[in-house]
This record gives sequence, C-alpha cells and structure tokens, in this order.
Amino acid sequence: MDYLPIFMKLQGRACTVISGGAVARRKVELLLRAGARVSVVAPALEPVLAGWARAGVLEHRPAGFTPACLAAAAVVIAATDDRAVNRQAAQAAQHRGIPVNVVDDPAACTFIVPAIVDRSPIVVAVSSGGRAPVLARLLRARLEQVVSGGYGRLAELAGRFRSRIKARLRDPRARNRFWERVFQGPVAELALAGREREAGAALAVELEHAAGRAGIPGAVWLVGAGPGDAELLTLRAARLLQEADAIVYDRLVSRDILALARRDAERIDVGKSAGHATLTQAEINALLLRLARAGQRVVRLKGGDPFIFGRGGEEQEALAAAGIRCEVVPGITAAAGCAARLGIPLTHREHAHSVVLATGHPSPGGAAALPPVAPGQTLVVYMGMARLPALCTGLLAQGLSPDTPAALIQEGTTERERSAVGTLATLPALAALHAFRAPALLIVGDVVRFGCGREAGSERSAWTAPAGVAAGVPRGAPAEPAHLHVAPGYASLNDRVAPVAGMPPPAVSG
Amino acid sequence: MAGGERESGGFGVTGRVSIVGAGPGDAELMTLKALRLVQAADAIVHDALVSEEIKACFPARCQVFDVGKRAGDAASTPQAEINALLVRLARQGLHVVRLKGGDPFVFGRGGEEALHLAERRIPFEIVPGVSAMSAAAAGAGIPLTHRGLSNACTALNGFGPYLERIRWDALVGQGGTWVFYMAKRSVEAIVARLLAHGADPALGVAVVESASLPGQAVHARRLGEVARNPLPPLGAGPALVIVGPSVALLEDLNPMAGGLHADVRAVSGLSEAAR
Ligand SMILES: C[S@@+](CC[C@H](N)C(=O)[O-])C[C@H]1O[C@@H](n2cnc3c(N)ncnc32)[C@H](O)[C@@H]1O
Repeated sequence: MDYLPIFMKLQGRACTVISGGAVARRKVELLLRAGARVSVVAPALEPVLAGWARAGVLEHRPAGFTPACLAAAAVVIAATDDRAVNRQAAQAAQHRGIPVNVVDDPAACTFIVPAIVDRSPIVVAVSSGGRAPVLARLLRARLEQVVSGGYGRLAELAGRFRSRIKARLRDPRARNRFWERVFQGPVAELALAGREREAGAALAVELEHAAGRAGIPGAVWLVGAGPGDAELLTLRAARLLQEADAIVYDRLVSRDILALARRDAERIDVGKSAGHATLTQAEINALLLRLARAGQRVVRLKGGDPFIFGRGGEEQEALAAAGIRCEVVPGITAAAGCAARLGIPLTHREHAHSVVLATGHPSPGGAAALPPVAPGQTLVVYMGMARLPALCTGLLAQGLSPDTPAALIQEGTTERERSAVGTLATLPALAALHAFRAPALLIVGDVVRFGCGREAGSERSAWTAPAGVAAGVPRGAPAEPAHLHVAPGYASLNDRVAPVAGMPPPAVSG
Repeated sequence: MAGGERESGGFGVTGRVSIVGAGPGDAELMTLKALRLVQAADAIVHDALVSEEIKACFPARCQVFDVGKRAGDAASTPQAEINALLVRLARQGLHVVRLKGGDPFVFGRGGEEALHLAERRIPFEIVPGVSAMSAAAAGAGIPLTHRGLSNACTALNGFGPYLERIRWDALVGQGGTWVFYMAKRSVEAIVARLLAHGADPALGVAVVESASLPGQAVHARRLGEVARNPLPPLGAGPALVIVGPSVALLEDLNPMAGGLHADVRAVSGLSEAAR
C-alpha cells in the first residue's frame, strides 16, 4: 500500500487552489462539497469559477503564486499547467507541513485525490496510487452501481436510530447481529427502494422483536431467475442471491445463476428432474414456511417469471396465510427471452396486436386443448414439448392454416440453445428429426416470419444474406457477436435450412 | 473522444446496435446485461418510459438521445426518424444502445427497428427486459397464471383505437388472464366491452399504475362493480389493466398489510367492494 486512505474533515477550513482553469474547477468543487473555505490563486478564472467568485462562494486572489498565498491553508492543490509553478507551490507547502496535491505530478504530491462515489454519508474512495487513474475511474463506475443512491438513505436512517438501538440492545454482539440483519433484510430493501418512512417503521418493528428476544421473523422473496442466461438476471435478483440465508430453486435455474449466490447460503433443490424424488407443491410450501419461521431470509428462485407458469401464486398464498412476509421479484419470462434470441417480435403493429401465453400441459381436469387463437394473435406455448404433435394438430383443427409459421426453441438463451423454424404442418417432424427435448418453447403466428429477419417473400432482408453482413464483423471480435443476429451463429441457422414447401423455410440451429 | 469510439465500437466502420429492454422503471429491475451494455455504450437512444433512476446510470461520456414516445402518442419522434438515427449513429462506428421500457418485443416496436437495421446490414442484438405486466403482477400480488384459476395469459394493446381490432368474443372464450397495455384512458371501455361480450362480472379487474416505481398504485374491483363504483382517477404514470379470475386473489392477500407487503397495502377497492 503506497498511500494510506484517510477522510479529512475540512468543514470551515481554509484551502488553497492554485490555478483558475477547468481542472482546478473540479478540485474546487470537491473541496466545496466537503465544506471547505476555498481561495483560488490565479491571475484569471475560467467562467464557472469566476461566477462562484462573484457569488462569494470562493475567494479569488488575482495574483501569481507566492509562498505567502499558503498562509493558514489546511490543504493545497496546485493545478496550473506550468510545472515549475506547481513544483514551487508543492515545495512551499511541504516546507510548512501542509498536505499538497499537484495535478498530474505524483512525485510532487504528499497526498492524492481518489476517485469518489459520493452517497453521503457513505463515501467510497478508489485509488490506483497514481498508476492507472482510468482503471480507478472504471472501478468507481462499477462501485457506483453496487452502492446505489439508496445506501446513503440507508445510512442516514441507521444514523437516526443509532442511539436508540444502543440503548435497547446492550450486548455489542447482539447489536452487530441486529445491524447485519437490518442492512441485508427487508428494512434495507425498503430504504433502497426509496420507501424511507416504511423502512423506518420496519426498523422500529425489528428492534422491538430483537429487544423482546422474539427473534427476527424470516421472509421469503419469490424471485424470477429469467430464461437461463445468468446475465438476464435482474440486478435485484442478483443482490438478493448475495443476501439470502437459503435458496430454494427449481430445475430450470442454471448453475451459472446459482454461482452468484452467497457462498455459505443453504441451497435446496426442489426441482422436478426425471428420476429424482421431487417435492410436491405442498411440500415446497411447507419447506418455505419452515425456513422462514426459523428466521431465515429465503430466496425462492424460479425460472422465468414467478407469476407466469411459475406457481408463484400458490406459494404467495401459503405464505400470506401463515402471516409470513413475502415479496415477488419479477423476472424475464421465457417467451421474452426466447423471442429476443430468435428475433421474433411477440407483438407487431401490423401483424400481432396481442400475444397469448399458454401451457401445453393438460389442465388438471383433463382437457388438453390450447385456447382458441384469433388471427393477428401470437401464441406462445410453455411446456409443450412432450405433446408437440398433438398441440399442432389441435391448432390445425381450430382452423389455423398448416402454413402458419411456427418456431421451437430449446433451452433458449443458454449455451445449449437450439431452435427450429417451420410451419404448423412441418414443425413436429422437424423436432422429431432433430431430437428436440424439453424444456422448449413453441411460438406460433405471423411474427415468426420476422424471426432472424426472414420476412417471407422479402429478398432484401439482410438476415437472409449473412455472408455480406458478416464481413462487417472483424475476425477475432469479442464473444459478443455470437448474440448478434448477423453473427456466424445466426448464419449457421440459415445454412441448415432445408427448403420445404410453404413458408417460411424451416431452419434448425444448434 | 474519437479514440474511445473506435475502441468500444469494435466493428471498424460499422458500429452496432443493442436493442435493450430496460424493465419497468425500477433501476434494480434492469438485467445485469442491460446495465453492462448501458455502461459501455457510446450512444444511448431512449424512450419516455426509461426512468430517471435508470438515466442516472448512463455513463458521463456517452451521447444521449431522448426520443421520448408517450405510449400510443403520434406527436412524438416518428419511428422513421428513430430508425434513421440508429443507422446514422451505428455508421459512425458507435456502439448504440437503444433502450426501451419493459421488453423490446412486447408492444415495444423493437421488431420494426431490428428489421430496419437488418435491411441495412447493421449488426444488432436484442436483449430482453422485464415487461410491465410481470412487474405489475409482482407489485400487486396478482399471479398471471394460477393453478385451477387461470391457465393462460394474454397481453393486448389497450390503446383506444386498437380496441376496435380486438375480437372480444374470442378473447372472452379464451379465458385466462387478460393484460391491457397502454390502457390508461380506456379502462371503462374495456370493462364495458368485456361485459357486453359475456365476461363473468365476478372476474377481478385491477389497474396498476407506475409498477415498480415510487408512485406505484393498485386499484381493484369486480368487473360487474365498476359501473356502480368507478375506479379512481389515475396519476401521471404509465398504467396497465389486468382482468381475470386470479385478480380476486387480492382479497386473500389484503389482510397481509405491513412489512414487505406494503405494495399490497396500496391496493384499494376489491375487498371492500366484495364485502
Ligand atoms: C408502448 S408500451 C411498452 C411496453 C414495454 N415494452 C413492456 O414490455 O413493458 C407502454 C405501456 O406499457 C405499460 N407500462 C410500462 N411501464 C409500466 C409501469 N412501470 N407500470 C405500469 N405500466 C407500465 C403501460 O401500459 C404503458 O402504456
């Protein structure tokens, strides 16, 4: 460690900045934010600084630098573009024992100014010790995301309660545990979401619980994990995974996603994978209740969105009936994830005014029919792989044309993604030929024609001429282009098309 | 920073466009991928639905274009201009992020933009986002599908002129949960048409405004009660309307006022009306 990070109290103290240029302005701004009284030593000031001087926000000393300028300064910053002047100022400051920073001259500095994330009262400082300022700035940008504005509010809130909590919870260890809970539990949730009044109320309740040794009640978050790709997790889901004591997950949740969870969190697989003993919904509900009653923060992680074929409603009801707090965190449902991968818009101003999400599972009563589909509707069938031929036949029996475009996508958005595009008449055979398996999603409707740009009858579509487009993609480009529709991955999607009568041409990829 | 452009563009002369769903408004409901792309963008072209909190994540050095289209409002930046802007920026070698509220392919016109880019051979990708209906359902506690109650969910365009195109008989016949986007000014019309086409008056109807945003509000009724007990006027936020049997589950959840269920505390109507 080349420098010791410290936070300096400058409220009401005199600080001197030498130079009146744009770089100096940024330093002046920082000093003002910390409450310093700033003098700027410079023959002339750039417009903003000049404005501040006129408004009395800072003091302007319109002269060249002389050591006398430093009298009584707590901190000196030299930012002129004259190295000699800067060095002279640095020397004078050091001579008087005043901390000094010289912009772009680490050797002349006795302190350096870090990159800052200001969520007052929380402040994060990052420094590369002058070796890689750009890297420090990039890290700062990342931290800015992690430490969202809400953390400042949370710290404010904690500050307001601090003495009260000290009085009620005498044991320092109990207090520590209490704060850890508060900062990672529902109170923090509310404060981060900007609901400070509710956060305050919840904090008071938590305090009563803790003080009354009643223990802190657990809570359950029903969290959508999205369609598969871990990067399609929401920021909230990722944060909750970091905070959970226990994670109860389904088979649809990928290993990459679980890898984002806190290392010491308990992981419980309730997934329905063939051959394994799996829990019934009632057993899952009971498990959630048991964990929450033991005071755990439970993340119930579900593929896609919890409220779209996720049975989140049943779990929510069971938790509500037991008086356990529960919050639902939406996720990207499989239809949106898969449609994005195939370039199939689910709605379209001309061709699709609505989209029906349906299940291919027979309903408990027995009847296994899909809802009737109206022209101009897109139909997306979840869990339809096992009964694909019957589903397609059923749609034909409803009166849909055998030429209706239809796409099948298996394990969409994961590395194992495969897809096939055909028509209601051809898709079942294609799927059988290429041994498609669950989990897969079926998309039926005119919009499928737009998939990967193949608007039927359109010769112009660039997507049908991937070679020309691919030329724009440099060799050895980052992995990213694999997701671009014009990238080689998509080219191969078109390559393997075996033309079949009717439109659009069927395609298989993967 | 010309150097920066070339570095991050990475595609030589042609840049690329990421058509990205920003989610319903709460910045924490952006995906990890959306945030990564936004932070690395050279230019961001965004809609009115993209919230202030999300805009605060935009990197300082990137060009930002607000093509603010209010839902269904013809007086905003025409689609053709947006398309042209995307092409122009990409041809400058920039990595452009086209940021849209919710999911780009659910009433987002992402398909039109994608096709336009494809026809001009501009590399692009689609990054899905959390659609407003999922956020509204989560915020209000209304499952869109539910065992034994609703085994399908239909998302429809609820903007006035589009109501004419809905086949109401077929819709009512389909059953399941119906979600109307852009339906703020057509709540009454939707309720009336559903009832006129034989929908069960006992079905629940919920209006969810500003889902996931600070002003989130949920108002619910039975379809048959709306005439007698109209839904309250809405604020300035975007809103969608959910109709179906699972909306009635709100009755069971209402007693759960407090703590994490503060969202549900904001629910007005259904249980009082039912009593
Ligand atoms: C043009 S559509 C865009 C939909 C978006 N692509 C999506 O997937 O959510 C705009 C409509 O989305 C709905 N909407 C978007 N954000 C919303 C929110 N935070 N709360 C409620 N409704 C919202 C409203 O119905 C609004 O009129």
